[in-house]
Amino acid sequence: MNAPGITLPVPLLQVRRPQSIHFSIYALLFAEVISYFQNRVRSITELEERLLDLGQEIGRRVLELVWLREKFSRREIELLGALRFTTTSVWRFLFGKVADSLERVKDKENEYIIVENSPLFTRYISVPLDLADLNCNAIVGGIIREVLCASGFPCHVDAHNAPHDDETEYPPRTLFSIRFLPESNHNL
Amino acid sequence: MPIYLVFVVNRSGGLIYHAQFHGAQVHPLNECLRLASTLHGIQQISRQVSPVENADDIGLVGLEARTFRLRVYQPPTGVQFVVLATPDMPDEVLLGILRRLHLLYADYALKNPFYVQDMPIRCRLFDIHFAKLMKPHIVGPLE
Repeated sequence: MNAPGITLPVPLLQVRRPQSIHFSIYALLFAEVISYFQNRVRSITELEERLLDLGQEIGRRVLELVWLREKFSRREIELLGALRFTTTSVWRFLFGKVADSLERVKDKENEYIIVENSPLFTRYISVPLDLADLNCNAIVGGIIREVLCASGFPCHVDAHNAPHDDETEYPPRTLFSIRFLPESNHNL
Repeated sequence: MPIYLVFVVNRSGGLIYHAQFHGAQVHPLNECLRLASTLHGIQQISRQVSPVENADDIGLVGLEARTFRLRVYQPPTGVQFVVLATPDMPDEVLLGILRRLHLLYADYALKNPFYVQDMPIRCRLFDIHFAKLMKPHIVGPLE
C-alpha cells in the first residue's frame, strides 16, 4: 500500500531554471496581502512601509538563493557590480527578464535609478484615484533594498510612478530610486 | 454587425458593469439596473421550469428576436455576462466575447485588491482592456 506521497524539494543547487508556477495564484496572493495590510494601516505611507518591510524579508532569502544558483565564487565588492547583479540575476529570478534600465542620477554621487516599464506585481492592479500616489511595487523596492544591504551596500529605496512617454498609457512605469549611504562607498 | 450593449450582473442581480454602444437606443442608468435585475429574475425562473432535473442547467442562455440577439454566459460562480447584438452576429462569436469578458473580470477585477466583490467595477485596467476587446465589434465610440 502506498503511503500518501510527499514530494521532496529538489536540491537548491541542482535547479538552474526554477519550475514556473501559474501567475494567477501569485497575483491573488499579492492582492490578499495588500487587502490584509490595508485594513491594518492608517495612511498610504504606512501601507508602503509595510510592503517595503515584507519585501526585505523576501529579499534576504532571494539573495541567498540566487547567489547559490548562479554559483558565484566571490562576493560582489563593487557598488556597480552589486547593482548590475540586482538588475540582471535577481531580476531574472524574480520576473524572468532583466530590468529595463539602470541609470545614475545626474549631479548625485550615490543615487541610482532602476526603471521597470511593465512591473509584474502590479499587472492586474488599478489603484483608485483617491490613492493615486500609492505604488504597490514598494514590495519590490524592499527586495532590492535588502539584496543591496545584505551585500554590504546599505541604502534606501523608494518606488515611484512615472508616466510613459505616451501619458495615456496605463499602468505607468515604476522607478526605483536607490540612495546609498556614505558607508557603502568602499572606494573612498 | 455591431454589439449594442454589454452587462455584467452579480450573483444577486445587481448590475456591476455596463456599456452601451453607438447605434442603439441608449437607456438611462436606472433603467439598465432594472433590466439587469429583471433578466436575473427571468433566469432564476427559467431554471425552475426546466422539465429535466439538472443541477448544471443555468436556465436562459439566449434570446432571439427580429431586431436583436441576446446571449448570456454564466460561469459556476453565478456572475452573468450579457451581450446584446444584431441578429446576424454568430453565436460562437458572441460566446467568445463573453468568455474573454469573463477572463478580464477574473484578472482585472478579482485580482485587484481595491475591488470589492459584487460591487460596481471601477478599475482603470478593466476599462482599458474592455475597450480593446470591444473595438472590432462596435461602430463609433463607447457611450
